[in-house]
Amino acid sequence: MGERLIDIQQVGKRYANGFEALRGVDLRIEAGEMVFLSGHSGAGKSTLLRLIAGIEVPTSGTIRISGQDVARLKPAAAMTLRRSLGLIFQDHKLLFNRSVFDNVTLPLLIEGYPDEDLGRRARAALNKVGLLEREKQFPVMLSGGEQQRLCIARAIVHRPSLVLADEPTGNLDEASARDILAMFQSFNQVGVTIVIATHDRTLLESKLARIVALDHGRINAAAQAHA
Amino acid sequence: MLGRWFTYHRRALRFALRRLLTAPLSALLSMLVIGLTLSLPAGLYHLLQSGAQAIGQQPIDPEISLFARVDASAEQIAKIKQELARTQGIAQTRFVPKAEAFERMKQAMETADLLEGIERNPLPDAFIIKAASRDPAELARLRDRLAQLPGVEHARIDLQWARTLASSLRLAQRVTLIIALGLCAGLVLVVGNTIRLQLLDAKDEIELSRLIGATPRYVRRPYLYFGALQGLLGGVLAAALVWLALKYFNQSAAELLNLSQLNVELPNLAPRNALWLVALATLLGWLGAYVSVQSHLLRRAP
Ligand SMILES: Nc1ncnc2c1ncn2[C@@H]1O[C@H](COP(=O)(O)OP(=O)(O)OP(=O)(O)O)[C@@H](O)[C@H]1O
Ligand SMILES: [Mg+2]
Repeated sequence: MGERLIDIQQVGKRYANGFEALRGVDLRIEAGEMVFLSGHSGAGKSTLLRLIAGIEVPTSGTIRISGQDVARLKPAAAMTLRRSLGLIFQDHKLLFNRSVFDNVTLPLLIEGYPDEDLGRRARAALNKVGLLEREKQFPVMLSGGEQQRLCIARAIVHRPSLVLADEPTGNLDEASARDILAMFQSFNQVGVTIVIATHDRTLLESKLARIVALDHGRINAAAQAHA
Repeated sequence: MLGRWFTYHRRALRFALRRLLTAPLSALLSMLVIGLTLSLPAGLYHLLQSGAQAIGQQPIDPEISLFARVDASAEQIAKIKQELARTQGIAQTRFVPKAEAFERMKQAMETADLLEGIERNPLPDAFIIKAASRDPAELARLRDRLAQLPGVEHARIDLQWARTLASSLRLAQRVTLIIALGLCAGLVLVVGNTIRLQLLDAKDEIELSRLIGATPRYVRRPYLYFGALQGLLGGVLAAALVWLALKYFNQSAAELLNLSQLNVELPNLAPRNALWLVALATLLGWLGAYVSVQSHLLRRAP
């Protein structure tokens, strides 16, 4: 496949309270790949995604994205990197006092897109997740699955080349999970690299992506599987 | 890119304006607090400044006023006149008979009712003496010598009080400046607090924005506009208040000052100074916002 996009070498993460969430993690992800990050609750999936996005810094080892050491970036460059990513958070982080439309345009505003692009891009993203008709509503008026889709729309609205999704199908029924998986597949088909942290059987058993299994902060080689 | 920079600023300004318009009451309240707080020291400072200037512009021809004893006889007055003619260092002497002084006082008081009951003229004969020298030490010597003359009650250098007044005005100005500094610090906190409340309201959005790559500058910008705008409005109010107060003061002061020999006219707030005042208020608002957002970001640093 393509060039190496994410290069994780011997990464460890010890939190301030002394808890070691990751130990000696080695992982390479090529551009254009789709990867499932699996593992039990507390295995370190979210931690690893946060390290890749530069939201947390590793206590040992290095993480490179397109050759750049994420932990060594200057603050401005770190923010530029983060703006180039599509992030989906485990706890959604939707703004409940903002309309669906305003939730989706937030990354565009931060990136300084001109007014004339806002509506067009936001509607394109909402259309991809099937929420085009709901743009004037508020997140409370959306079902759980629709809220998940809104998170996806917000993550892809600025057309990132790398999407890091933390449990994007958490608490959804099988059909909804399949819908969302199909969406990620379609993004992946146009070249977007996607890393999905999940313990959702529906996703993991789809065999649509390489599975990287974490177990108590380590990569569990025995459980790896390829699409 | 310039276009993007412009977009950021336009949006931040729009955010600030919308905030002001959606909560007009609290905006008005802040404006009043800022306006009133700034107008007091600003008005006082201006008053002292122009007062000191006006006094400084008085002709610096020092005069010595020489007052004879109220019960001095005509011979004694004549003696003083002779002595004055002999004394060195005197450029010019003008005799002000007590009758003339009494007449002037009556006129000055408009209604003579007050003096009606006073049969006898309580004022002494006086001499206004122009000294040849302007040197303060020499003036003082001359005054001391003149005070010794028989029949003289009191001699004083008339410039002295003007000097004293001018320097006390300057001192008062300095004190006002120090008080103003304290009030300014207070205003920074006031604006900072209103913005702190807004930040708490928007903390989820700010946290999310930071997570997906918003710079501190991006987060700050709309609040800086809001703080500056609030300061600006308060500053305009302060300038207007000072201007109105001075206009009113000048009207009453003109009447009052007519009584004295001083020709003092206080100028109103110059447009340039009004602009300075507005600029200062804007800066204070901006500063309040800056401090508030920075401390919010530091406290919630990811
Ligand atoms: N800020 C933190 N401070 C201390 N410990 C933390 C912190 N964040 C996470 N942990 C711990 O690190 C471990 C890994 O957490 P993480 O969120 O990465 O797990 P996860 O695999 O995403 O789990 P889940 O499937 O439940 O989301 C957990 O045991 C968690 O308690
Ligand atoms: Mg997690």
